[in-house]
Amino acid sequence: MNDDRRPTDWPDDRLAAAFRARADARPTPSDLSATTMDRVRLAPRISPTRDRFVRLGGVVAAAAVVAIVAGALAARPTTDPTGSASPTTFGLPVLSVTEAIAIRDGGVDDREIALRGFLATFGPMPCPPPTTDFTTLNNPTRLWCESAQTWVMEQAEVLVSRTSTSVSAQPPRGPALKPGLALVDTTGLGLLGESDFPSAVVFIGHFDDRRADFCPADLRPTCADTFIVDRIDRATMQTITLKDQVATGQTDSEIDALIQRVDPGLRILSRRVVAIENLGLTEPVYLATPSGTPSYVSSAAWVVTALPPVDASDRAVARTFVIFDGTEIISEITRNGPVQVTLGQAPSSQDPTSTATPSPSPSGTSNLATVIGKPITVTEAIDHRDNHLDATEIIVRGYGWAPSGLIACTVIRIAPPALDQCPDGYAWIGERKPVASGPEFPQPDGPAINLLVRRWTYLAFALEDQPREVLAFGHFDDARAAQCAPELVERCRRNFLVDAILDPARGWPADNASSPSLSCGEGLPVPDCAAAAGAALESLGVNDGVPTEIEIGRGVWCPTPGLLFLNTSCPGGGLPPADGGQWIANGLVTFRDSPAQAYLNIARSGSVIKVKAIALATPPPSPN
Amino acid sequence: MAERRRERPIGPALDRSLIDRARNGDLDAFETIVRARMDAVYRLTSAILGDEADARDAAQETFVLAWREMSRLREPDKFEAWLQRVAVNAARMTLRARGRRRIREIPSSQVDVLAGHVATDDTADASRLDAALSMLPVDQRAILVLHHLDGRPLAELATILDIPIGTAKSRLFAARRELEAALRADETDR
Repeated sequence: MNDDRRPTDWPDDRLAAAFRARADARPTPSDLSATTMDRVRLAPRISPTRDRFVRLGGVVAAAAVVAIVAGALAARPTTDPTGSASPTTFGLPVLSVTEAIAIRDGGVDDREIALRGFLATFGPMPCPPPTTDFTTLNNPTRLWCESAQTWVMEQAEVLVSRTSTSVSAQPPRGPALKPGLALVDTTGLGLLGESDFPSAVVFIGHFDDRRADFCPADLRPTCADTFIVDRIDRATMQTITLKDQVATGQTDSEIDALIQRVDPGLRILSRRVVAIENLGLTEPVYLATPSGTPSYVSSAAWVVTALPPVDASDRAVARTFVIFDGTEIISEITRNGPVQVTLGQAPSSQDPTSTATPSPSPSGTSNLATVIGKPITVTEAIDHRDNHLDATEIIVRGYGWAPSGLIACTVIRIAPPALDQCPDGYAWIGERKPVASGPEFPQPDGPAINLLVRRWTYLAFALEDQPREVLAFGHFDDARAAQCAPELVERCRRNFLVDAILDPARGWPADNASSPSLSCGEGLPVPDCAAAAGAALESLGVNDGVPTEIEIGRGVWCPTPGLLFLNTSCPGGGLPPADGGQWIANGLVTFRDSPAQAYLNIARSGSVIKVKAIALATPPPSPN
Repeated sequence: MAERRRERPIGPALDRSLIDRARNGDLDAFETIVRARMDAVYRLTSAILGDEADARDAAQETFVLAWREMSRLREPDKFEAWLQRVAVNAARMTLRARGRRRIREIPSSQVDVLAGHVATDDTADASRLDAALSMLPVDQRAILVLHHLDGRPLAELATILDIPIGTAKSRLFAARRELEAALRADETDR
């Protein structure tokens, strides 16, 4: 235990000076007051004499309190809004608003609920523009402005009253709850203020949605109380896809078929198509993981909610899947984040007894730590592929070439990245430099393999049709080979996916025997990691030393005086990247015979990986 | 004899009518308060949390919570202390919400500037203090910051933290003892 009586080296004046120096190094961000006010304007306010009236369009007289007109109610349904509907839907008993509220208030319970009631809204109203808080505002569980003034009510109450000069409204007096309608097509529900009278609805949805975890801390309980609507039970029983203005390569039925391969017992509740850059607004987990959205895969994503069979106690919890358009890459979004789903066998009428499944990749995941050893020859790479096939990241040294200009391909299909197709067959790395044979495109002379260069591959230079020495970072047995058609899986596993092309003539690695090892942070996709490593190495100065170790991880380095720390965002560190794009990772490079380490931040803009050097520094000895 | 508890402004004095207007829902008045007190609040959350992004979040939360709860403030004369208490609580919540972060301590003198980042001269103690504070619970950080950075005497600590003066005194003593232990441990490691 520490000796309390030991004379201190830190008298009050020294301590105060250190506190001041520390504080002075962190001035208040100039935009903080303004961004704070943006949040304040959207924050609910607690009042001891709660104001139950909402002003609409600036024309409301504060004193205008208009009672609900009983006569108006008389003309509207006031009893069971399901009418002749079945008492169950999707196997779920249809509950009243009161019954649903009891479930909501009974503790954390995200079971799927079929809810009957009357839907009413205050109608269109002026909303403050979303600014810095935009991302959290778009959390489907967080209701604000118009969506916060929409209710499902037990009884058909009329909330809006009008006179010739004013409009006034008040919240429901009876049991009511607020629905989150961001995931479903609300056409025809009257949310645009077509009518002041409520409409009868049956919604299928749930409370305690996992996305509430991404609301600001003080709003999480409110977010968790939002009734997230997964489906509007319409008379047609059709599942309507709510679609952004984005083209898709797959149809509704193809998506449904994929979900059936996940689990034949699932029933589709809803489909939502979003542009890939907006995926985080529907699934906030993708905003929380900087490189969590594999934008290189697709330009759109399907967010599909499906219901498993209801159990004996009438309970079922909906499952949500994200499918990257044009692929069979599916992630299930759980409370712990996205989990990649391995698809079952596609139904086949030709071979119904087949039990063959895609041979799983030994890596099986994009989260593995990857090790790069010293550069190997093309012959050694081929031996690795044929005799030790796995996803180890390797560096192949040889002569690389590819068509300099455009090449005509008859058709390029939407396919998993691990599948080779035109023009992959024209990109090569060979053991020997091909002998020039006139204007013809060079053909390999000796051992060679095709290079699968993808949009996310880091290119220190473009491959041309004149072979030149290259270092190709990459790997066989990409995890996405499992998404190839069953008969092509083995072929896909044997393809060499290139993560980075580097120039050996640049001086790195100066000594093959000391080539760096690479470790990829947990959850960081290997292609991102390896491409980032390639870009990191290229960014180092020739005199920085011989790199021996590269760590690529999530977050970015934020510099403050005397400290570098990792964060997912770094307001004082120059974010966003000066050249556009977004940060995807940080890098830490260790050098041989040098105490210094290079601290790097790595950004992706479109398909281009860029590196920002933060510092070359010598950390103190670790306490460990 | 107990020290008299009194309200000391944490910036240019706020007009009482401004506070009353904000309590009654006047957003313009509240914005004036935000602009007048942001430096002090951010300085406090930054000193407690160490992390810039966290400090920013906590400062924002402080004012959002203040706006929400202000109408229930029973003693408007104690607004300043109340606001600081809200800030301490916001910092506590922010820290709880965050996972542990990786921090690399690098002596400023050894940081070769590649990114336009310039270290100040007198940051060695600040850096050591940073590392030591990060090993302390948030409540101990808060009381140390209020006392040693803001110069709050015991009576004001008691008011801000809503605890008896005797408790404030013992907590400050304990926090100081833990801080010095952490600083000594840091020296031993060097």
